[in-house]
Amino acid sequence: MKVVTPFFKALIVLIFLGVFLSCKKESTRWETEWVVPFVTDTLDLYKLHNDSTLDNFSSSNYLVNLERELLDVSLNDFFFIPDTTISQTFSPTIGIGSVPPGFTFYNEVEAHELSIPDAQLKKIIVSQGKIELKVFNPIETSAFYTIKMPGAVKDGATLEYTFFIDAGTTDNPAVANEEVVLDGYHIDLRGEDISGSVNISGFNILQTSLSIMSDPNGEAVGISTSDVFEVEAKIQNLSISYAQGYFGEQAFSDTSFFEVPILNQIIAGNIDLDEIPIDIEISNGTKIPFSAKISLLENTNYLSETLSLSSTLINSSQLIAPATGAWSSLNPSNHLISFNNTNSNITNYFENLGHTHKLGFEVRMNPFGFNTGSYNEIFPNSRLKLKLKSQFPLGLQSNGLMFSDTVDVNFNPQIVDDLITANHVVLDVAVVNTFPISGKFHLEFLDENGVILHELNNIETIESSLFGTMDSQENLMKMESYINVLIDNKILSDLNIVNRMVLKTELNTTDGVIQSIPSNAYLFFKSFLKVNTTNSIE
Amino acid sequence: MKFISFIWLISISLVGISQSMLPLVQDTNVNQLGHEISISGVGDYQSTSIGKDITRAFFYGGLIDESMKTTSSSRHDEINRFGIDINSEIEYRNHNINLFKDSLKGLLLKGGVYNFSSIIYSKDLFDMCFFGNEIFTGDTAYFTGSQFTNMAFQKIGMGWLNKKTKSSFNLNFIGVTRYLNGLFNESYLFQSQNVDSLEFLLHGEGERANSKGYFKGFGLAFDMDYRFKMKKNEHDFVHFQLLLRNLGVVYLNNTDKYLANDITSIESLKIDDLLNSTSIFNNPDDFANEISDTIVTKGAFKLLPAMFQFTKLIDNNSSHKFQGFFGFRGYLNNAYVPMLFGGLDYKPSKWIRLGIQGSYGGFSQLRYGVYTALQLNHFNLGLASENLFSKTGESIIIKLSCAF
Repeated sequence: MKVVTPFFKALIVLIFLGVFLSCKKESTRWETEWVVPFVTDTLDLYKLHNDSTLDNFSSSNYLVNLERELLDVSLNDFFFIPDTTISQTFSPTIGIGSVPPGFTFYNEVEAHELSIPDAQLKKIIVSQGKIELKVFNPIETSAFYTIKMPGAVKDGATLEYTFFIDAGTTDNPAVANEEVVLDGYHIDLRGEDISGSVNISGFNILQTSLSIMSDPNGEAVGISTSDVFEVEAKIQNLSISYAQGYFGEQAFSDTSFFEVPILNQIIAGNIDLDEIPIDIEISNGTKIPFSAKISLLENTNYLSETLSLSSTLINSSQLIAPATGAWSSLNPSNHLISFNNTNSNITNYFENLGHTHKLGFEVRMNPFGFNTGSYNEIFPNSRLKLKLKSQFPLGLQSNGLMFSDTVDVNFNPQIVDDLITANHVVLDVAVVNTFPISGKFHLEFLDENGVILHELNNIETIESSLFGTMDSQENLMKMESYINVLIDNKILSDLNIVNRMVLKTELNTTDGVIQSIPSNAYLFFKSFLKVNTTNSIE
Repeated sequence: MKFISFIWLISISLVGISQSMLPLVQDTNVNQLGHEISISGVGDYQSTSIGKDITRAFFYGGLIDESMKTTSSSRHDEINRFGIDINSEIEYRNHNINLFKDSLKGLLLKGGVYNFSSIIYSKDLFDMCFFGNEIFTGDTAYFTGSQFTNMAFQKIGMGWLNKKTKSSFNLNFIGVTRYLNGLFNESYLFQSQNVDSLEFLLHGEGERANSKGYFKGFGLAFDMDYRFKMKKNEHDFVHFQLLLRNLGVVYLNNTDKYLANDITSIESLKIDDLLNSTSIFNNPDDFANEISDTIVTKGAFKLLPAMFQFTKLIDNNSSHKFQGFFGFRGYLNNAYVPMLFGGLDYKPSKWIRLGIQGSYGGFSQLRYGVYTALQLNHFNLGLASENLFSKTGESIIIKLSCAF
């Protein structure tokens, strides 16, 4: 044992020493390069080809062929016939005595005036609507009530409706509820004159006729002066597809706003444009004369500068003639209000790069009052339309026009943990540009308080297609550019607190030239991330 | 003492050490001192292709630079192997006890720590791990057929030995501390030339011991050292050894088995996708879940990486100064190719032995080694390396015996 003891003492010391030295081992490290697909996409104007914005067929360069509808109203937008309740009552002035079964003891026509403000309607065709009838029977035998509406005709037959009602009493009359559908009825609203003929000058008159017959199978009953026979008719939700008469001097005025959001992202620079003519076309599909005027057209740009369109046509009333023809041969009347450089500052208007446009207009019916002979007419297919139209070659000169777009970012926390340990990340972008415009980029990384943490200013330029070569198959000049965006470890280490990214894009064209944009131009880019990591094993 | 300290330092830094390697000497004399303790250790890693500069970096730390990676990569074939065998054993032999009332049967107690790892892999898998996927742009990286296994376990056991022939049999109780296994069936990563799409196909499985305790499972194994001799001539015998080590089975209480049979594609985003996404990039955990189709947790029986070795031994009592030895070795592991070895032993004096050896197979190919053994009265110290000049592996074997 004497031999062994010193050996074990040395062993214990060496174990401690060995463990200690083992702990001092530095980590094993090696670098790897990983590539991950990022974004591959094509930016083009194809979406605008088929929505009445861009014409890519007529020329090798894009033509703007803009058409936007500002107003489109129909007959139901012109007239609103309020719900109307008509009541027809009969009470004998003298006692009739005993009435035998099957005896018609009342048959009268009454005229009722429809309450239609400012309008004098002579004829209408109901597209949809109904009458809710409530009938009261005070006699002690059941009866047949027949309701007629003289002048309301459908398929050659006058509206007539007969229904049966049980016996009631003077103090507690029987009540019956019925519904009459008016869809498709042609209604003459002129009423009758004293001779019973149509009153040519009449309007807004609805006639009803009520006849009451005691039940032929019932018993004879007495009718006294205290008996009240009553029909209550509620005309509800009446919409019309045709109307004739005088529709008054109604006016429609509105101020429309329309936005061009991308122009709200401009932060610097300006553009020069060739003339951009604007037409506002008014189409009148009614047989009503109108007057129309553009009261205001202005836009506000990124500097909050508002520029109004200045022209003699602004606030000038334009007469819009009635449509011609009728029904299927109806031919709308069109009127054009044209703004160009001769009569306005329209090009300056667009060069202001307004993101919010404001258009004020007024349309007035029967501007000459009742003199039109009270013969306005609106057909089911009659519409009043206001359209904005413009045609011009798409081209511009961009002088450092800079867009800024802020994107909220939410990096996956685990990815951030991985990226933070990366040495650097390179965003490798290959671009094919067929636009005659060059682009320069600037990237900012912001925290949640909007503080700029890092900036990348030295990103290469996407060159204009004019510096490239002609692709005869696509008939486009093409320029390839390659961009490497180095995101170093300083940026990566802050990714966990990056809340927003701001991408600023500066667009430039050749000085002094309005550069036409070729038809079917596009910007194709493919990108991937190259991540350089140091792998470490402790 | 400094020398012993140095040896121990190496031993400990190699985590554990073992026996069974060269030099193997047959001494048929009965140990008269009665007790014998042997501490032995092996640190051996071999590879067909991976440079030892890279492996050293994993052991001792440091930077694996581009030159090291490129050199190793160029050395790779389609199929490559790598293995590590690190173990240490302590053995107590009692020659005074007569087991089974047999004066030739002594007591043998044994303990050991083992860590065995092996990998068969494709060149593409190496390149992917050390260079990343950029070099496969417009190409396909194939991982099919790659597999890896790692098992760490400890043992303690007892048995008997023949005091004269030194044959022994030992039954061991095994405790597994780590088990990991993986296999890539048809698997590849395809990247388009534009790096706008990646396609990762993974048909494979992985398994790992998942018990919470230090020991993940237990089992039994036996060691057998059978020595026999054949007559060479009228006076001399040739001694042979048939060695089986850690031949046994363990039961792992809980193993997580991952089965993957999926193809995953990563495509470039569109600008709208990027702007409208709630989070940039997918969660890698989701990706891991995507490729793991099935996870099965269950107990499992596993074979230990047993070692088999047949050797023509060196006779310690021989009067010849030069003796030859040869043999072959195998492991119960499909990455290990049976290794043939042979060498020459030189005994210039009573207290020292020197030797050279060559081998072919194992986790690598051709290897050369040397050994020396110091034989004192109570101490016997052997220091050997089976792999001295290779660029793809290293080996050190130490054995210290103390008789008292």
